Amino acid sequence: MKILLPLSFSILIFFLAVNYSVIFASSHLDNTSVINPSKQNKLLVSFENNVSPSYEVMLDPNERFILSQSYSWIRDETSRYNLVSYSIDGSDPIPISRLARGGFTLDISTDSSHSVVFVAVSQFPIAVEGADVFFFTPESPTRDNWFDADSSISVIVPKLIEVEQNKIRRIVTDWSIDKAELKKVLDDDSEFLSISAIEMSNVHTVDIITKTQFKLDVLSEYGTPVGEGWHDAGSEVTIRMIPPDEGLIRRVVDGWEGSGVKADGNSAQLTIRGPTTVQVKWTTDNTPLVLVIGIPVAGGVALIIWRMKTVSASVKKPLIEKKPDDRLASMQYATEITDYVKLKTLENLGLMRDSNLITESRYLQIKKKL
Amino acid sequence: MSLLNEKDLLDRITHVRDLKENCFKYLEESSQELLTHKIIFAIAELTNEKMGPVKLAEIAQKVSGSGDKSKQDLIRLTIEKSILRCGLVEKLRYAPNDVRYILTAYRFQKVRQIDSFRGESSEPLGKVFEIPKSSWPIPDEFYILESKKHGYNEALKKINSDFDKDLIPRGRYEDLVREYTESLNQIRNKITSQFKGIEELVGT
Repeated sequence: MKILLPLSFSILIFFLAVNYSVIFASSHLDNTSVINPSKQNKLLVSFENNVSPSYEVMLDPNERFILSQSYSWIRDETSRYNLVSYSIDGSDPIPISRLARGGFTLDISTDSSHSVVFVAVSQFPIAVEGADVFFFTPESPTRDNWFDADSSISVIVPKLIEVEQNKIRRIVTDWSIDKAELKKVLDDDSEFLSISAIEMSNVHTVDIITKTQFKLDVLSEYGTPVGEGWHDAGSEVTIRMIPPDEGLIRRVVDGWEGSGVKADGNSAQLTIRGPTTVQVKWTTDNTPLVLVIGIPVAGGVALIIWRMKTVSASVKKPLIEKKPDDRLASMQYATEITDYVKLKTLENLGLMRDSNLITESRYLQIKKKL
Repeated sequence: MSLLNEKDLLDRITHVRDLKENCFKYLEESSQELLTHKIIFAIAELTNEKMGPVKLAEIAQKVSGSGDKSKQDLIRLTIEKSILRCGLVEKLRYAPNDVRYILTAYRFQKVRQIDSFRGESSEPLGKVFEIPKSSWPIPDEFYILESKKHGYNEALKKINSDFDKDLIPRGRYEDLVREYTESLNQIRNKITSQFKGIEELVGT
């Protein structure tokens, strides 16, 4: 018993000592993993085909690391590189949404070392001068005017561009690529000019040549106008009226109203310098009716005819025909509503500023965009 | 160049973050003169201007009117020792020498931490605190769409009222209503898909 007690006590002490040593060791290990700088991890960033220099970054396991890479960067004076995909630690390439501007960001775990390899392609730009409306087919992968090297594209331009509805338009007449010889646009039924098979192995410029046309409207209560419609800017135009066939009552052109109009009976000349509206004035010639009714009643009727002749066409106009006025009023109303939308839109933006939802500088910045 | 995408920024607006009382105090009006308060609001305003996280030098310039080293050190220490620990601000390291800061949220709820044998829990105290809306990182496009939505709504009201007064013929009326309703629906769909939850919060 004397021997057993010290033995059991020493066994207990031994177990305690062993257990504590394990506890100390593990806590020592835990501390080491947090503070030992030799455990810091690395990130190696490289680019396929060395399109940009590789670099290394130390990763701190206690902090988040976000890798940022521009979507595009300069290759030379006329081209750029654009990100396509990346692979991490030798994985299969992961596609990147193709974007022209801004930066691609990747949240990198900092608990171990990693390597990221980016893949980028060369791109060349194409500029289209002289047309506000155009599109490319196929569309640019970066949704701008830059295309991957060696791709073949087409530029599509509407042959007719309406500048102001029913007033001003532009017609595409010629085009050229890289300032080479001008080519005429074919006068066919196609709505679009298609400039195809442009090889994007270099920078290109497409020049679109247009001419401006203005709409000439003839407002007339009677007859059929000849010569109204679209005319080239600066052109000399002759318009004329074919009077209506109304039996015994003859309508006669009494005059033409409009800026720069030279009247000559049933016809008129003018130079087209902008959207133009010409109004035709009419009078009534009742001579045939007088002849038919005869001389017996001439005395009484003559007075009425004389009075009718003197009645000005402008007095009759609203009673007889409303169409031209309706059309003008309708167009004017549409314009008024467009202006109204703009006004209310700006009013709302102003309210946002007044209620401190946006700052004054932000208000001015957004106003410019509206 | 924005270093965080639009969705990340908008998520920070829609998310309400719980803050312990000792952290929430940095936002309160009584702390207006404290450097911590100034830093938080400076980060919010700068993020709104740049639509992304901001550098220490920019914060120092905004808070103290000077971006010199000593001012930057003071602000860095303040951020590290208080508002970063509280989870008010997030530190993003883009490159070894490019560290930026951004608020973790724009709306905060003061909470009281309760420790019990069942574990930790918290209970909300008072109303949600909002960083001023003029400092929220909402893209211009949202305000443009909201303003246009108002414009089209008002135009449709006018078209209907003018038609009732016989000021426009039926044909033109129907064309305009169709055209403007279509545009309005497109705008509404865009707001719903791109700015989910923002419209209700902004209350435009």
